[in-house]
Amino acid sequence: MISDGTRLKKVMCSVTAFLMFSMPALAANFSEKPLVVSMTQDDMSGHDMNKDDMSGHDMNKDDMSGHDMSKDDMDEHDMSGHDRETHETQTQDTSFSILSVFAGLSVLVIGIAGILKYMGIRKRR
Amino acid sequence: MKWPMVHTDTMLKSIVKSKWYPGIFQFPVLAVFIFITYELFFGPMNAHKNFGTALTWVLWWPVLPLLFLCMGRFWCAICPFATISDWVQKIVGNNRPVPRFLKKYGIWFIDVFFIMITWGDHVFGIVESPRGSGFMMVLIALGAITAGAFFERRTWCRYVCFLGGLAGNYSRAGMVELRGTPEKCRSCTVAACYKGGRKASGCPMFEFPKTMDTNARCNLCGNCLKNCPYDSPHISFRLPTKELWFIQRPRFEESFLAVVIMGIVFVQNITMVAIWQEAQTWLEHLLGTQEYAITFTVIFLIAMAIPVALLYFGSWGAAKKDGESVHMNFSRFGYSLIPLDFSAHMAHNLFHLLAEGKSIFNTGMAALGISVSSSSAAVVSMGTIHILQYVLLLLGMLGSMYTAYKISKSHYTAADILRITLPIGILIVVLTMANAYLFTLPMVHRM
Repeated sequence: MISDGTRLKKVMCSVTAFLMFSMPALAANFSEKPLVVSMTQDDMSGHDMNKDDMSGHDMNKDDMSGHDMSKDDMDEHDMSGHDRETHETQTQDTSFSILSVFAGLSVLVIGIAGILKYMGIRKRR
Repeated sequence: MKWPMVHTDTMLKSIVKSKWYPGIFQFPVLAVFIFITYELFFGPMNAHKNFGTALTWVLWWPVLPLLFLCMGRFWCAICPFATISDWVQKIVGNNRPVPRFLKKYGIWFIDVFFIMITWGDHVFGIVESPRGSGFMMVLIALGAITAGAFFERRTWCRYVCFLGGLAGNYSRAGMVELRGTPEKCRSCTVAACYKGGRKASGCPMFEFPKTMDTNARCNLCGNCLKNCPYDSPHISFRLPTKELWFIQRPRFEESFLAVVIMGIVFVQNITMVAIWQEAQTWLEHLLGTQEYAITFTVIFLIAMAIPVALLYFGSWGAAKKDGESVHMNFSRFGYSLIPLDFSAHMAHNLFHLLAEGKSIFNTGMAALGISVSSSSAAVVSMGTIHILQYVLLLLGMLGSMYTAYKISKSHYTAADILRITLPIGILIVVLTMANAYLFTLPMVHRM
């Protein structure tokens, strides 16, 4: 028969292993890098303006090089209403995922602790 | 010398002994924590506009060291993570003894945890990302829940929590102490303060007021005051840093934590100064990689190693004079850096508090749907902030020097004090100047 101590060690190891593997994935979720990566040069050339519109009338190529705007400016101002809505929905989904994982883990930990406590009480009786 | 006492027979005593304490503080703090977590996860993605980020990193985090200095680890008594852990423990707690390795290496876990959190903050952008901050909050909460579910008392707070490590470091130099009255404790056979009684459970921090000689671990929960049939424990105010003067059994890992905190303050300052971008570009060329995690890790290791190496060097200098081992001097004089730690940390935090303070109001209004047009988040001018930072650094330097002197005085003869203290004094001046230089450079706002 497995003792409570051994069982506890196994449970703790499983939870730790799960956390170790899930943390980088979850951490990557709140990184905002994909937003910047998704805006390629191609996205700029052709939907609302054609390539010629870019060639020197009101702005030159250097103006587009990102020095004058921060990452935050890119997040907020350059996205259309639809893009922003989509992005906010995605972010909220990510938040729900993160919270769900943590809530699930908390319930798991509490559940296991509850079972162990109940078994301990029964054993003593 | 002790300051005019506010002993337990005063108003403070009636507050701490009340059945409503500390619950009356715990519930509002927990409610605010839940709101902040919600705001971090579901509020604006932009940290500059997120009320949760402002409350966490512009108000709570900068004020925390000051709270530790003035009120000891009172925060730990009302901490929302610990409150959740207590509830879980009451319902499903297995109350197993603390694992031996945690007892033995707990403070090292705290050291590593603290270093990893700071590293993670920069590499994953925890502070700049509300979701990242929220992730950190729930991660800590999960740790506290796990500890509360399986282990006795507040194992998490005492042996694992990095905030607890920071709290212990500053509370040790703080102006509040809880001690037993030796005359009353001598005849006690009950030890209700530790074991618990009808009114409250035993000390959640595994402390025994009868033999307690530090406030680094007491969270002022008041359980010992409620339980003691002899009315022995009392809370009093003392001169800040006084506890550091007479540490009989210095511990290397505690001194190491004090030095690590200095390194962390360096890292925070270096990465916020405007020249950080240039330094990063230079380092990228030098290392031949543009991977931020690598360049930052190199800077991080250097910044952490500098204070450790300096203290080691200072301890080596002192060892030449006092005949002790370098290890012993490192352990003994590491505590003398705590006042400078505090002042450098607070000076750094002053920037957030005063240069970004208005963002709390602005983002708060925005969360309520009221838009506020404000050109600057600063509460006072940068000139005023700089003056306050230098005054703080000066006070910290004097506090550290005096502490080093008092440590020497309590261990060595009068003739040797100056020679032994000199290398440590030089180290303190060098660290002060390094901090002062960083504060002269323009800093980048978080909010």
